[in-house]
Amino acid sequence: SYEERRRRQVLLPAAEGPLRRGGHQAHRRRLQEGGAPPPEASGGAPDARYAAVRPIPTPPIHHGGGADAGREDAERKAREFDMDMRYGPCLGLTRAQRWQRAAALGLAPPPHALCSDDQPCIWEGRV
Amino acid sequence: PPPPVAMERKQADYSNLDERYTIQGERYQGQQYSHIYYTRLHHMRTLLHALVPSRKPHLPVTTVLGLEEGKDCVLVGTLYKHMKLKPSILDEYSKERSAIPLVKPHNFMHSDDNLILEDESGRVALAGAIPPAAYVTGVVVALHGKETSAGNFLVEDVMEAGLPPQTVLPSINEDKYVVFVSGLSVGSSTFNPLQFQLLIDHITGHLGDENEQAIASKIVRVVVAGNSVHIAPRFLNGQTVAAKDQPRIAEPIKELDIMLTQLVASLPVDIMPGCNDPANFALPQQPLHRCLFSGASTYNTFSSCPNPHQFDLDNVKFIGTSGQNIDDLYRNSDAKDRLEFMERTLKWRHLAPTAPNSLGCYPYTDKDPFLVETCPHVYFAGNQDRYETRLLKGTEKQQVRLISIPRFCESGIAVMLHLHSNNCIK
Repeated sequence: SYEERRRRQVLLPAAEGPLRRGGHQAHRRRLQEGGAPPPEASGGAPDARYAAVRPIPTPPIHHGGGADAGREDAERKAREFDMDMRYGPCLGLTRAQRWQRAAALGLAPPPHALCSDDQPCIWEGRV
Repeated sequence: PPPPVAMERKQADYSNLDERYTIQGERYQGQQYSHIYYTRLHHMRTLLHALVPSRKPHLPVTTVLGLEEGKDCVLVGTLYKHMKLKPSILDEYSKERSAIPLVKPHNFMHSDDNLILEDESGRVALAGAIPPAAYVTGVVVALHGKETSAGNFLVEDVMEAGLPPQTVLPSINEDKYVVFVSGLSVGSSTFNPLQFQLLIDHITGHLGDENEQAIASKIVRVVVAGNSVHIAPRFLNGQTVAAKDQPRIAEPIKELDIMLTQLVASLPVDIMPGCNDPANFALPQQPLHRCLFSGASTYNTFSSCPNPHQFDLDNVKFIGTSGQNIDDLYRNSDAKDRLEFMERTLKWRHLAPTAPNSLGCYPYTDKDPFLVETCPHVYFAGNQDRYETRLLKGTEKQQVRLISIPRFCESGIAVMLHLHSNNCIK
C-alpha cells in the first residue's frame, strides 16, 4: 500500500548516496562542486576492484499481526531475489519478468520469489 | 529465323529466418542496456565454460571477485576498451574544452587504449598478451592468466569461442547464382541510372546473347544490402521542408520502386535497409515499409527484410548486414582488411559486439539477437569500400564464404555467388 511504501522509503539506509534531484542546472552545479558522482544503477558494472557491497535493506517495523508478518517476509525474499546478481540486473524489469527470464535461461530461480503482480524491483524510482 | 527458345529461370527453396530480428511484441519500459549485456555474457559464458576444459584442462575457472594473486586461472567476462578519443556526451560539460579536437577522427584508436574485463562480480584491468587494437568493447572471451601484485590480470592466452558448428552441405551439381548489390544510392549525385539499368537488364535477361541469357536464367535471387536511396541531407536537418520541396524527398524512393518493379517481375528480390535508408536507426533495423514500394510490393517475389538478414536457400545458410557492424569495428579497432573484421565477428560468435556501446541497438531485456549460433555458409556485409572475398576455414571443417560488397554507386560492381560451389564472381 502507499503508506507501507512511504514507510520503507524513510527507513532504507542511504548507502547509495543522494538521489539525483533537480535538472540540468543542478547536475552542472554538482559537477562543478566536485565530489563523488552518483553511483551507477545496479545493472552497471561497479568501478572498484571488488563489487560494491550493497546492504540488504532491513524490513520496516511492522505494527500488525501475523498477516503483516507473512507479507513482510515475502517482501524480504523478493528483495533478496532483486539483489542476487546471478539473475542479472533488476532495474527496468518487473520482478515477474526477471523471474521468467531467469527461468528461461535455466537458472532455476527460487519459486517463492515469483510475484504475480507487476511489482518493479527495489531500486525502481530511486536510482 | 527459328523462334526464340524460351528459357526458364531456375528456382531455389527459400526460407526466411528473420524472426529474431523483427521487433514485434517488444514493449519499451524504460530499461537500460545492462540487460542485453547480461544475456550476452550468460550465453557466451555457458558456451565458453564448455569449451575451456578441452583447451586448458587443468586450470580453474573463477570470477573476477575470486581472483587470487599469482594463481593461474581462467576468467570469462566481457571486454571493455577504454578509448581516449571516443566521443562522449560528457565532453560538453568538461572544463578543459581545449583538449577535445573539433574535427572527429574516423578511427578512434589511440596507443593509450587499455582493456578491462568485466563480469557480474567486478572488473579487472588487463595486461599482457592481449593487444587492445584487435579487440572492442562487448566481446566475451575467456582469458588464461594470473593476477599481479599491481592488481592487473596478466593475460597469457586469449580463448575466443571460435566458429560455431556448421551443418554439412551435400554436394550438388546444379548451377545456381545469387546476386548481391548494395549502396545503390538512388537520388545521390554519384548515382548513374544507366549503370543500374544495365545491371537490371543483365539480371532479367534482356542483355547479351544466348550464353549470357543462360547464365542470367540461373540467377535465383537478388539481395540488395542497404543504402538503396539517398535523400539530400538538407531535408533531414530538422527544419521544416517547404511545400514545393516535399515531393523531392520521395523522388529517390519512387525511382527505386520503378527500377525494383522491373527486377521483381522477373525473380525474387530481398531488400534490406541501410544507414541512409528510411528505416529506424538502431539495430536491428526493421524492414522497409511496403507502402514505400507501391509498385514492387504488389509482386510476391518482393521481400522487405530487416538488417541483419538471415535466410536459407536450398539449405545453404546466409547471414549478412548492410555494413554498419563492420564499419563500427573499423572505427574502434584495427585489422588488415574488412574481411578480417568479418572473420572476427564470426569467431566471437557475435555480429555486432560494439552494440550498444558505439552502435545503436534496441535494449532487449531477455535476449541478444546478434549472437551467432550456427555457422553460416555465406556471410556478407554491404556498403564496403572494395569487393573482397575469401573462404574462411574453421577448426571443425566449417567453411564460410566471406563477401565484402562494394557500394554500387561508386564501383559499379555487383557480386554473383555460385550457390553450390561457394565461388564468387564480380
